[in-house]
Amino acid sequence: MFPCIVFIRIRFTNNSSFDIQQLDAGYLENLIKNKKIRIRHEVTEDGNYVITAPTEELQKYIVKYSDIPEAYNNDHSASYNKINRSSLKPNHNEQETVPGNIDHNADFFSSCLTSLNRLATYSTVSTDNRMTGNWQFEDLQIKIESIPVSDFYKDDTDFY
Amino acid sequence: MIVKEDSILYSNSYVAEFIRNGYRYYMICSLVKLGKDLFANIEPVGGKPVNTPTGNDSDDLFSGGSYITSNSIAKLVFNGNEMEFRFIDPGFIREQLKKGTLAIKYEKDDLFETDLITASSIDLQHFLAKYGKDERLYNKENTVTLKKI
Repeated sequence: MFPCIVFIRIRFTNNSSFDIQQLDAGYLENLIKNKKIRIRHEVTEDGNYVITAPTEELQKYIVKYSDIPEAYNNDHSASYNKINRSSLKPNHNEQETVPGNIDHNADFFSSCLTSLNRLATYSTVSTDNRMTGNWQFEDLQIKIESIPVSDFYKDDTDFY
Repeated sequence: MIVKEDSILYSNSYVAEFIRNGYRYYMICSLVKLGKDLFANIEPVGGKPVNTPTGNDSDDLFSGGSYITSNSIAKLVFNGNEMEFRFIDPGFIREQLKKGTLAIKYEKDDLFETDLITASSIDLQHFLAKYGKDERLYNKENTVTLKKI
């Protein structure tokens, strides 16, 4: 995984609350597609837009479009209120049920060079039966399997 | 979004599954043969708690938040009952990029002090077809050896 930056607008509504609104990626994508803006970016082979502009260029975009309501994604808005800590009492009966933090780089990949695009493509992908099976790496057991073959695809659905 | 080409790619790929720190991870491994060498492209696709208290906690852990899926590339070497993933040494690549002795499209991320290779798939393949045999691309620290059990 490659860390990227998300921009949000913060507006304090009073001393104890604030609203946040995330900039809408689709709005910026449309500006780029319609050639209404020039901002450094990359388009992955999946068609996803990744903004690679330097800080100064990003600031210019924000300054120009920050007052346009359509530039924000209403699905990624939230309001926060200050916690009144004196009203909170610890509940020692509650147990932590969620395990430790997810490792976005799954540890040993964190020092690897990362690429935005895949090395393998549908026309060059190769198979090797020696890959499949149960493997051990340090204290990890890793199961590798072929992905079941399907003749169907639905191109308006997320992979997950 | 999955498209027809992805479907063909994934149906010829492998899924690796393992549990670490209470999370079950899934990664897709796609192979490509360049000359006589085999290379692996590894792409994280999901991770969820092994003991999920509620359904929502496992939703979209990788694609949610401020991360984009990126690909790790390794030379794959089989040796008896061992499989070696020789990941490309980022230090060597950065050094060559700094010197200007390497021509591959990339972006520098000063905040996280890292680099993201932005070359297309075909350029990556050309790069590895040309330099993939150079042992300076790999080192022990970036090699993961799996033993068959």
